[in-house]
Amino acid sequence: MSAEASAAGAADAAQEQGMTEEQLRKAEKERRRREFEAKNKDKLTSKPKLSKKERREKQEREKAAKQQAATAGKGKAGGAGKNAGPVSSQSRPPVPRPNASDVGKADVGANPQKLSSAFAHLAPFRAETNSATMGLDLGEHNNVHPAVIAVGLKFANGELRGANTRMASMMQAFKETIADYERPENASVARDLTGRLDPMIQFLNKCRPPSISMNNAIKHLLNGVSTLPPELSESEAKEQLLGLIDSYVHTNVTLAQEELVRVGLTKISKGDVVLTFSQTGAVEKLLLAAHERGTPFEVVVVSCRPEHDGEDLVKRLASAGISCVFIELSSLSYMMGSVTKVILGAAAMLSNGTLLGPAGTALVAMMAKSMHKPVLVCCESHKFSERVQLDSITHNELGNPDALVLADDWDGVEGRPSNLAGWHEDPNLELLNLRYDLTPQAHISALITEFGLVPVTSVPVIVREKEEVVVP
Amino acid sequence: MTDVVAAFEQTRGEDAEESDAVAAIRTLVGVLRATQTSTIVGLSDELRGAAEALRESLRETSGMRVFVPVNAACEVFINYVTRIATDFPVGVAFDQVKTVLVQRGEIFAERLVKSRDRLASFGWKFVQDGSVIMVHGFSRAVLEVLRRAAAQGRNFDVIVTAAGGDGSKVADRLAHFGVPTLLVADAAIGYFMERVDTVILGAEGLTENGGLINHVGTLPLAIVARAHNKPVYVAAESFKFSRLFPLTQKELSEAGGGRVDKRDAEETPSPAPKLEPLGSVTSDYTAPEYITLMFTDLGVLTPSAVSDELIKLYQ
Repeated sequence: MSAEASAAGAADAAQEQGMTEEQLRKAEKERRRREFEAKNKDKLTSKPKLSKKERREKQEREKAAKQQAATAGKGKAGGAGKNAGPVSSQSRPPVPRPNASDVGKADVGANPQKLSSAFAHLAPFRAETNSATMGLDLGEHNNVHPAVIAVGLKFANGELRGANTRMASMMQAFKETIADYERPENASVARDLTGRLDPMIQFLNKCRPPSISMNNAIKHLLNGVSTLPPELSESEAKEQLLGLIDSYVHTNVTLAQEELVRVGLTKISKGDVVLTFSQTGAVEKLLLAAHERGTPFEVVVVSCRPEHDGEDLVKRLASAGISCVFIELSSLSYMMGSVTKVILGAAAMLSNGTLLGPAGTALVAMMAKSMHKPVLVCCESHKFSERVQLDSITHNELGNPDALVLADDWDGVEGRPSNLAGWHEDPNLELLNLRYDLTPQAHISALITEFGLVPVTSVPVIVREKEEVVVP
Repeated sequence: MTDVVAAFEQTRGEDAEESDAVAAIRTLVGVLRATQTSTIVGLSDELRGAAEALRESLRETSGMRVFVPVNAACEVFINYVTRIATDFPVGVAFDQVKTVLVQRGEIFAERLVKSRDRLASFGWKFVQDGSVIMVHGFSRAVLEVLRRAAAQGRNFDVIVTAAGGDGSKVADRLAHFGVPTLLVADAAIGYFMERVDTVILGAEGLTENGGLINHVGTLPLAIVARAHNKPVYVAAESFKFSRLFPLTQKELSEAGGGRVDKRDAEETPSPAPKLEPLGSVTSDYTAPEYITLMFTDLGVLTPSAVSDELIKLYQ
């Protein structure tokens, strides 16, 4: 029985006994609190005496907890299997983890039951990075192509990241899948292949929630598969699909970025001070191209915990000869005054003109807007979505909470232990590492795409125009 | 290519009431008619060359008010012609293609001529009976809207800003339509805004994001109107939709518009060389958030629709 199935089963059982999920979570929290109190008894007992009212409240709490603990216990017993698997230290994310032993000995992934209710609907971060704990039973799913498994696991451990990279490597894996595909007798390629790709897509989605770029590419590929003319032979059909994948990636990444850079260059002029946040391929290419053209300008790179993506970018820009300033997100308000333009990357653009970007983007855009600096967003149109989202809570992705714990390498002391290290044991403490945030359209001046420089209100128009081209 | 410029100047002189964009299109149709080339690519190159020559000459000699509409209309026209030309089946004789193109070019020019009428037919209904309207700068489109409203029996007063001499021209025309006017100094817009119901502006050009390039002083007027929550309408023909996207005022002058008149600089007792531009500016850029609606020949649009139309046009 897979871990998720058992957890779901426990939840069902709890519901039968008239307990909602929220109650279940409360009970679990209470149980943890008691454990914590028991552990730190000596510290707690030295506290001043409880007042009469507090004592009564405490008694009531304990009474309620006792009743619920019985049912919660079942849930726990089932869920324990989830975290029991050995976690190999080699397959950890590439983030440096100097004090991995200090950081949560028991369970490495976030405990879903520890999340605040606002984010409880998001899939918990999974630190497992081998195929067995990924819920991939090779006996049952033996038709997931090895290339897809490899890519999926790299998505999960963070080795492959970024909307373009993930889309392109996924498509590459599907190319290998299709190249190795053999049609069973009396089956149409269109129907059979769709059925075979489906579990692979499911698997990838399980490894990490898919990006908008991946969803768009999958939609395009499946559309290509299902509209294969039935008279094609197997090899012809395969050839057509391989060509479709190649041309999709080529037009939407390579060509789109070239055109995007050409458009963006018109907006970087002599003496500009360009501020950028985190790192994206398109922005980096644009800045390098502007430098190559000979335009004298400066760059301010803003970086923030826990990913510190800006560090890589600023290194590369500086070594290319661009004069750069590197700051943390916390000193943004100080720098923003001396900036002339802000250029941001995006994970996706939504139909209402909202920008889905790496967490922190919204802050940068808002600060720029409040100081009347133009905010430009670089985004290739394959990352446009017809979806609309109004806040960063309904859809988001949880990153590894332990990434917040990791001690920074500062003051020359490598791996200074963090004060957060024991957070798993503390029931009152939860760490939330959100990957994305939303920037409202009012904070964006212009969108740089391969379709030219357009206002963000044009996103739905471009989505519509593209669909007309794809589906005649 | 001086003949192109000469032809343009001549066409322009023939009818002073006609827009410069129409004159430019007529000039390009003339180029189509006279062409010696025998390929579509050659034709397209020739048109582009003529348009570029026109642009260059206008960039030198006149301000935004001529440059932007001429530039935008030329681009749309060339796009339109190339699209028709490439739609022809292979094997059709070039002469035949050319005849069709000249015909279509003339239809295109006619459509431009009618566009002002069309936008006025949408826009006049926004002039309410008994209201006070404020206008700034000389715009034939705005005058047409107001003329039509007056002809339809709407009673309204107009506050006309001086706008460097344009104001008295506008007041003259309005008096001719029987509309009572008040001519005020540009600096008095704040004083009069509380009495205004509607601001109607013309356009030298509309930018990709739905912003407005217009006679200098438009931006402060739009900001004051916004502060008083008064609607700001823009009357502009769709050939003024351009792919310019200025992020700052400075970028506007770099793009060839917002020409700076350097004469005033000599009168400055202690000029600040760091603060370009020296002297007075002819056009400014108003961001789309200050604009309520636009009256165009395509209908009454929100500012964001400009980009939608442009994407469809250039796709």
